[in-house]
Amino acid sequence: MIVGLVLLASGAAVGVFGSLLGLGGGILLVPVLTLGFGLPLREAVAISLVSVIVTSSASAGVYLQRHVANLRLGMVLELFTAMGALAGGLIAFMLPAAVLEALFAVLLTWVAVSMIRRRGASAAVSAAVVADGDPAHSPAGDSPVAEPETPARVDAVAGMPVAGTPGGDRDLASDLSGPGYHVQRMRFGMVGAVFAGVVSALLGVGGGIIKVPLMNLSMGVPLRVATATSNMMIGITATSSAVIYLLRDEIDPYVAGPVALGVFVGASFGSRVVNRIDVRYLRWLFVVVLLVTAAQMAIKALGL
Amino acid sequence: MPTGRTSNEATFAIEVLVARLLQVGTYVAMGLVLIGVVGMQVAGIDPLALDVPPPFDLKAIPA
Repeated sequence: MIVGLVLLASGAAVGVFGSLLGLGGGILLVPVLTLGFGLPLREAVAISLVSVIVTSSASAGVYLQRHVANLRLGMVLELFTAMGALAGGLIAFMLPAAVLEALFAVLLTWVAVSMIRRRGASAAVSAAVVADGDPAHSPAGDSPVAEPETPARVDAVAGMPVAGTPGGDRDLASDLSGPGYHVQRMRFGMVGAVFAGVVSALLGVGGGIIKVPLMNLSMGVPLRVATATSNMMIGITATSSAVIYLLRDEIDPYVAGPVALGVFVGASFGSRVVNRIDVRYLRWLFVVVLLVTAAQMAIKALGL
Repeated sequence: MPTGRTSNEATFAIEVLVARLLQVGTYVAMGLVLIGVVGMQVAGIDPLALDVPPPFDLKAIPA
């Protein structure tokens, strides 16, 4: 009986810290389940995907209601991300667990390094993302590598977004653009979206770590819109890959239930207190935790 | 052809509708999960006791 409560508390802790730090829930949850509870990596990835769906659904509702997310852009990119997620879900069962563990160790290290590099911009990014006590601020989709907002391309004469970009995706990009910004490099975005889907399905993360910089830095989407759109997309991405895990009996409902519930409650709580807490020291602590966890994952992958 | 303003209003209306569906759906789903977790606790089921997750069987879900 106590194990269920411990799982619930662990999920809540992941939700709170993920929400406070703008980190992906999967980044924290997968190591907790594998190293803490001894679950096989694929099972942990599957449960993490369920949690991603929950947090994404909650946060996407809020972002859509506030008209922050670009629904059209998200749905177009999601076609490609979902394809990547389906492929990733299949690939995950072909790769040895040790390879997945090694990949996860690389991902953890990358996130830790990204957190160190962006320490100066973190406050602005968090403020832009979290807004005013967003009750459903998702820990799953925010990117620790997101940079300060890229200025949108605006026509200096008309004050309107610049029409079109080089290449055949001009009309599509125009259709998907929002107020004050023009979507660029759609083809690159589509390829990046496929990659984000594969990574999400393989490692049980939301994929915001790829989608947010992709939309913000490469496609000219403002950071706030990119984060909101990514938060909306990751739930669909996770659903695509979770179906593969579900059909292969890798989702344990007895574990997924309390963990997902805990993450949901924790993320909701974290989003309410994030503006009242100085997360600078917490961030450094987490960098250390991520690096130690990466080392443990690497050791496990190498069988040492 | 709808005007730009009408199109924007329709888009906003759809976004609000989707947002409400998502929010209601999420809270209903979490409520059901909560019932399941409480039931699991009351029944004294250890979530980690099973070595292999139970197989996914649509027929086992009550209609």
